Amino acid sequence: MGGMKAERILRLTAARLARFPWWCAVVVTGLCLVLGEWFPFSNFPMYSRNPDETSVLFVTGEDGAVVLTGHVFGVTSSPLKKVYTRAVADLKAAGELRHSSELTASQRQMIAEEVLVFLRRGKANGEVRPVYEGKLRLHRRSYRLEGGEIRESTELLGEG
Amino acid sequence: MKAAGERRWFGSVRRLIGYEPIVHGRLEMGLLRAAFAWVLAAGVHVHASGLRGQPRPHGFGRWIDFTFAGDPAWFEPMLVGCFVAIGLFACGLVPLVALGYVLVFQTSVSTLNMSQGSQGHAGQVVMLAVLGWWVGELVAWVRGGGGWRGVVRSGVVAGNAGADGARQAVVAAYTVAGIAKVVNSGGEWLERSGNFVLQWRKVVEEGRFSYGLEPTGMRRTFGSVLLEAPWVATVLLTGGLLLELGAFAGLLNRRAAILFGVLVIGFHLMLGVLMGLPFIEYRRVVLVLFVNPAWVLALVLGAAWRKWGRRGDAP
Repeated sequence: MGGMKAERILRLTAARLARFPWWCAVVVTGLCLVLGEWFPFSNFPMYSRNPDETSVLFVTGEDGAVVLTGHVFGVTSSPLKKVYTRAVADLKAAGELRHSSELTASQRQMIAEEVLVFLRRGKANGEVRPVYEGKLRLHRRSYRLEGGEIRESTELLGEG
Repeated sequence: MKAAGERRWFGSVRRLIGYEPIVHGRLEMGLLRAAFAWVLAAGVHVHASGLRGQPRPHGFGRWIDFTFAGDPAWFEPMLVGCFVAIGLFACGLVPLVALGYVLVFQTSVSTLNMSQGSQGHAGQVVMLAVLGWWVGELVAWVRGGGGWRGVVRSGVVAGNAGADGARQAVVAAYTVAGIAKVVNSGGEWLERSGNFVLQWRKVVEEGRFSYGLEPTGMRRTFGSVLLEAPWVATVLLTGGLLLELGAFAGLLNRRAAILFGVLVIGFHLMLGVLMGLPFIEYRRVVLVLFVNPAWVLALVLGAAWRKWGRRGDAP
């Protein structure tokens, strides 16, 4: 009896849902907005801010030459920035930081270590990559629009 | 004359925006399934990541440790299973189990990757489409009274419900992207369009620091254009935002779906050329579900069948 009742409820619910043709789109939109980043759901925040300033992270070796992270580790610059941004957001959430421009030297070094650990973990993609033995330095280059020109500034975040 | 012209114009607009559910015939449904299976197969992670932990658990990774999905001993049989599932789906067999498996496999692997601390957005739209298709088929199966037949084989009705669910999920993704732009920028996304040149510069520099790539051709020129004429960015971003916020219109009927699909693919192609942001997964899923080449192919095959087929009826 219970099974039949449940089946009837299920069938009625399905019929009601199907009466509104776009129910699935509305539900998925709602879930994406509520859950945020929760694979396969996402709030798709890419390029959603258009900020006044942006930055990229890059890595140099001990000799100061740029290490092409895509070639060496299979990891591009973009995911490094995402790890950095997340670490900064964690510090803010923990009340240890108000703005990313106020990062102390030790906080920068701590974040750089996290980013470099992520980088060294690399991406397999079916390739066996040689381990990079040397010390790496993580830099942040910022870009700002001033008087119709792009001004840039670079800072060393840390090494590891 | 003028009144007749106006009537024709209004008639065309009504044909474009009037709601008319998209119904695929049997042959078109079969071709659409095969095309969607191609989208799935092309987006599958084919290499074990070798990752041995979840330092920053993402999504379901907060509840389940997906480290096993990076271990080749687990990954390889799971991968074979995924391709078998995609093959079964293409043949219209065990759709709920097959799509459910693909969803679980890709979620496991992607969640492990994203649990390393970096959030990517390449695979979500395809997996949302899979989820939408799965839910559509499930609802059709329940409405049809359940039973083993619906579990083993997907009919045209269930297939249509699935394809409709997938289209709706893709539309939801684009709508959310539009809402995010309005909300995250505090409603000033278009006002700040002059800053878009910074995004161009960022993408260029990422290519330089990752692979030593230098921008060439149109991509290089685009930066100067954005600096000298910021209104170009405003026009571009307005078009993109309207397309995203108006994505629901792509569900109105076949004509609107094709128009939406062509515009979205065109926009992605343009961003690919000018910014180096290809969004291949997005283009593939929109091509198959909205532009729907399966429809044209089914029409051609149907006409050929009527002309040269033995029975004289289109399948």
